[in-house]
Amino acid sequence: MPTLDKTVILFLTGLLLFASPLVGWWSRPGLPWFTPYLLWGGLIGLGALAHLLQRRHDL
Amino acid sequence: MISEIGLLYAAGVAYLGLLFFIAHATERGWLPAALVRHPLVYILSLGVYATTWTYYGSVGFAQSEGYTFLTIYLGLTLAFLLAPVLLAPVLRLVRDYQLTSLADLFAFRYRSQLTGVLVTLFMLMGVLPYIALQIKAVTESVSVLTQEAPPNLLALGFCATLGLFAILFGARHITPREKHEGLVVAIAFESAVKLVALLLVGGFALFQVFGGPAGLGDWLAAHPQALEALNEPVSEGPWSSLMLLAFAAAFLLPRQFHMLFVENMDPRALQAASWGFPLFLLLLNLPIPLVLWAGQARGLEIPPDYYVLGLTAGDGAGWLALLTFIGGVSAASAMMIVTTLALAAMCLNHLLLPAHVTQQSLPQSNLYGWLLWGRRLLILLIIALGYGFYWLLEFNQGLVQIGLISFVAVAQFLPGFIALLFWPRATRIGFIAGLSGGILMWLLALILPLLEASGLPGLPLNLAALMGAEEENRWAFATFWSLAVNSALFVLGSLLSRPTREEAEAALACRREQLPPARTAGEVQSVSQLETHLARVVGPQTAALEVERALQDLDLKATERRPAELRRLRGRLERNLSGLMGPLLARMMVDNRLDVAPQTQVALADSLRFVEEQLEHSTVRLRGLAAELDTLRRYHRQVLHELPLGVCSIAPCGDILIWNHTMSTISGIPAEDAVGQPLESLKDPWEGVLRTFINGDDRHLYKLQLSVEGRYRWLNLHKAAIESSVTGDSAAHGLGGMVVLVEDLTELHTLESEVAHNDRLASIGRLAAGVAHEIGNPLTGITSLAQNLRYEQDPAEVELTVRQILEQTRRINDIVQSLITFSHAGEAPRPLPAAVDLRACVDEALQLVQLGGSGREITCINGVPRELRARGNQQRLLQVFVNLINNALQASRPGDRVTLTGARVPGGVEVRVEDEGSGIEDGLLDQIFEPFFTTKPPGEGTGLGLSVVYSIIQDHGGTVYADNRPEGGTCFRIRLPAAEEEVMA
Repeated sequence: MPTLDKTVILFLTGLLLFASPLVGWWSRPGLPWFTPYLLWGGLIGLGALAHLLQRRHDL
Repeated sequence: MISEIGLLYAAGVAYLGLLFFIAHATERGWLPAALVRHPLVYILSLGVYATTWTYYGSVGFAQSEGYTFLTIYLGLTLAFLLAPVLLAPVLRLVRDYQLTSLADLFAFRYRSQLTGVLVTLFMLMGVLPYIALQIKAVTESVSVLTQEAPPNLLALGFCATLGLFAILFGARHITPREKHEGLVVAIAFESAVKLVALLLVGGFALFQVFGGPAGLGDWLAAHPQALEALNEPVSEGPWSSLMLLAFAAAFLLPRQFHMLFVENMDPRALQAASWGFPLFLLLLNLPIPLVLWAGQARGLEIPPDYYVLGLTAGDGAGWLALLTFIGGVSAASAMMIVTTLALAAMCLNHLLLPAHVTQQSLPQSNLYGWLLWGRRLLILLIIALGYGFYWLLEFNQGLVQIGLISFVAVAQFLPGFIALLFWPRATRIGFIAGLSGGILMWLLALILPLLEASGLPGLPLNLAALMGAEEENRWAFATFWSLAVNSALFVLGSLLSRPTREEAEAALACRREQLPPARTAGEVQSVSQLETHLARVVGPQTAALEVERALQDLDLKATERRPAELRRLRGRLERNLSGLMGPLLARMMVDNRLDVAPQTQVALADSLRFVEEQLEHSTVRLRGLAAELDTLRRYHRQVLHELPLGVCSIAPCGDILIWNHTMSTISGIPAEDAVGQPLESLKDPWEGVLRTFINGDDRHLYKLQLSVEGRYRWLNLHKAAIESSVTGDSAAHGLGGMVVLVEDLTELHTLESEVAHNDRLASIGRLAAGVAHEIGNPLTGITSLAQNLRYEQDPAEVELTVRQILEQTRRINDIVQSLITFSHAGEAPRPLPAAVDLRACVDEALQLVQLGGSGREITCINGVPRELRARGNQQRLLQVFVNLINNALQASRPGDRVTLTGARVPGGVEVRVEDEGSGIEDGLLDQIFEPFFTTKPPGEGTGLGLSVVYSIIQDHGGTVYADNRPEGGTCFRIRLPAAEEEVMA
C-alpha cells in the first residue's frame, strides 16, 4: 500500500478515536482507567507496523 | 522533605555538569557515532516538547480537566502520524535550503523581510513567558522540597548556567550544515532522565501508595468519583481546541522546529519518530493519573502541579525525590536551552543582520566570528529577558495556563505553514494580514486578561467575557477566533493580491516543483569573479571559504567557466549563505552581486538537467498519467543513451546538452565532462570536427578519418536541426539547436581492409604460376649465359654476357618488386595521398595481370595519357586496376581487346576500363559492387574484387560506375580527385 494511503488511514483512525464523538464512548463510566492509553498505544502500534512494513518493502 | 537547599543546589549543579560532560564527550567523539546518530537519540531529543508543564503541570491539569490533559499529546500524535506529508517535506526544505528557524522558513516562502521580523517578534512575545515559566517551576520545586522560599540567586544561577551551556554546545557552529551533536545527545539524555524519573514516581505511587494494581483497583472502587473526575471533562471541556493547539505545537514551537528539522542528522530517523516519539509521550503520561490519585489518597497539601515532587518527598524516599527534582531541572533546562537557541537564530537573521546590512556595517573580516558571537550574545539576552519576565509576571495561573498561551500563539503560524506546503497561491500580503489578525485576537483574548490577573498595567478588556464566552471555554474561544480571523484574512489577502515572481518560485520550490532559475543579466564568467563580487559584501576571507565550500559541494573545480555550472554554483552559494544569515539576505546578496549566464539558451542546459534531477527525485510522487509519461521519458532517454550511434545535442549557444554513452566511447570524453560545456571546451580533434560540421552546409559527412588518442577512427557524421515545432510550446524556453549523430566505422573499415588484403592474397595465389613462368625464363637465360661465360675468353663478349645477366636479373627483380608492392598495398600506416602517375600505375597492373597467365590471347591497351595524375595512394590504386583488368579479361573472349583510357574531367580525372565481352545484365548492375556478389559458378570467384574497388575509390573521395557498352562489353568509369599539378594544368 502506498505511503500516502497508509498515512491517511492512520490519521483518520486517530481522528475517529480522539477527535470524534467516539471520545464519549471510551470515557464513559465502567471502563478501566487505562482505556485511553490502550487506544493511544494501539494507534501508535499501527503507525509502527506501517513503518516497519515500509522498511521491509524498501529493503 | 529535603531540608538542605545546598544539597539541591549541589545536585542541580552536578547534574548540569553531567550534561556538559555528555555534550563534550559527544563533540569529542568519545561516544560511538552509531549511538549518536541512532533514531532513538533523535526521538528522545524531541522529548524537549515535554517541559515542566508536562513533568509537573500535567497532574494539576488532570486534576482540573481530567483526561483532557492527554490532548496535548494526542494532538501531537496526530501530527506525527502525518509525518510523510506534513513533516518530511519541511525537513527536506530545511536541509536543502539550510533554513535555521521557522522565521527562515516563512521568510523563504513568503519572500519578505517583514515576514521574518513579524514571525520573530511574535515568537518572542509568545514564548518568553513560557521560558519564565520554566524558571518559576524550578524555583518552586525547590520551595516544595525545602518548604522555604528559594534564594533569588538560585534562579539567576540556573539561568546563567543554561546560558553558558547553550553558548558552548548550541552555538558551536554558525552553519546549520554542521549539527550540534553534543546538544542533541544532551537533550536526549535529559528526556531519558525525565522519563525514568516519572516512571519511577508512577511505580512508587502504584506500589508504595496503593500496594499494587489490586490496591489501586480497590481504591478506585472506593472512590469512583476519582475516575469520573477524569472522564467527565472529556465530553465537556475544550477537547478539540486543545487537540488542534497540540497538533500545531508539535512542529511550530521553536524548540520542536529546532530539534525536528534543524538538528536532524538523518532524515530517515523522522520515520521512526513518527511512532517512536508518541510512544515516548505515552510512557511519560502513563503515571500521571496514578500520581494524582496517590496525591489525593495521601491528602497532600501542596498544589497538584507539584504532586510529582511532593509524593516522594513526603514519604521518606529522599533519593527518589532528588531524582524527581533532577527530572524537573531536565525538563526546564532542555526547553530553555533549545528555545533560546531557536529564538537567537531568528533574532540574528531577521532583526540584527538586516539592520547591519542596511547600514552596510557588516565586518569585512571574520564574518563567521561576528555571526557566532552575535548569536551567543542573543542567547544571553533572551535568557535575560526570560528572567526578566519571571520577575515581572506574577504567575498566579497554573503552569498549564501559561504554556497554553504559548500554544495559541504558535498556532497562529498554522495557516501559513499549511499553505506553504499545499497552497501555492498564498501571498506574503495574505500571510502578514492573517498573522497580524491572529496576533491581535491572541492579545485581546489571552494576554490582556493575563496582565490584568498579574496586576500589571493594561487595558481592562476581556474579549472572551465581552463576547459571552464562559471562563472554562476561554481556550476554545481564543483558539477558534484567533485562527478564524487569521485564516480568513490570510485567504482574503492572498486572493486579493498577486504573488510576486519570487514568491511563485519559492512556492514551487516548497512543493518541489521549482522552475529553472531566473534568467538575469550576466556579468560573472568565472569562479574567481564570483568570489571577488561576493567579497565586496562578506569580506575576502568569508567569500573565499564560502566559494571553496560550494565548489566542494558540487564537486567542481576553481577553473570552472561553464555558465550552467556557474549558475549552479551561485545557487549553492545562496543556500550556504542562507544557513549563515537567512534566506532573504542570502538571496539579496546573490541577486545583487552574482549575476551569471546572460543567454537564454544557458537556461536550457540548466532546465534539462534540473528537470532530470527533479524527476529522478520525485518518482514516488508521480501518479497516473504523469507516472506513465515519466516511464515513457525514461524509456526514450534509455534508448537515446544506449543507442549504438553517438548522439550529441548542441544548444543554439553552443552548449552541449546530450552526450550519450556511445559518444563517450567514441570520443573518449565522459558525459559529465561534456554536458553543459560549451563546444569550444572539447579537446581536439572533437571541437574542430563538430564545429566545422555544424557550421558547414553538408548534412552528412562520410568516412571521416580522425586520429583519436593515437589511433585512427573512421566516422560518418549526420546532423539535423532541432526545429521549434518539434519541441512545441517549450520553444519559449529557447529550445532549438542541432543534433549530431556519429557513426563509428572503424570496425567496418578494418573488416574491409582485411577483405581487400584477402583479395590481394587470392590474386597473388592466382599469379603464382605466371610468376614462376616469368621468373623461369630469365633464370634459364641467366643459366645459359653463365655457362657460356665459363668458356668465353674475349673481354668484350664477357662484358656483354654480364650485361645480359644483369638485365635478366633486373627483370626478375621488377617482377618480385611488383608482387611485394601489390601484396603490401593497404597495410597501415598508409602513406599520405600523393600525385599518382595513372599510366605507370596501369602499366604495372597490366604486368601483374599478365604474370597470372590469364588473357594471353587478349590484347590489353594502355591508352591512359602520360600526364594524367590523380591524388591518391599508388599501391591501393594499383589494386583497383588489377581487379578491374582481371575482371575485364575474365569477361573477354580470345581475340577481344581490353582498353584503358583516361581523360581530365571537371573536378578530377577519369579512367575508363572497357572490354568487348558479354557485358552485365542490367538488373545486376546495381549489385556488382556488393561484397561476395559474383556471377561466376561457385568456387571460381570470391565476389570481393569489385567491392574492394568500390571501397578503395570511396576512400579516395572518388566514384566508380559500371555500364554496358552499346557495342557490347562493359565499361567501368573511375573518377578520382586530380593531383594538384593536374588541377593547375
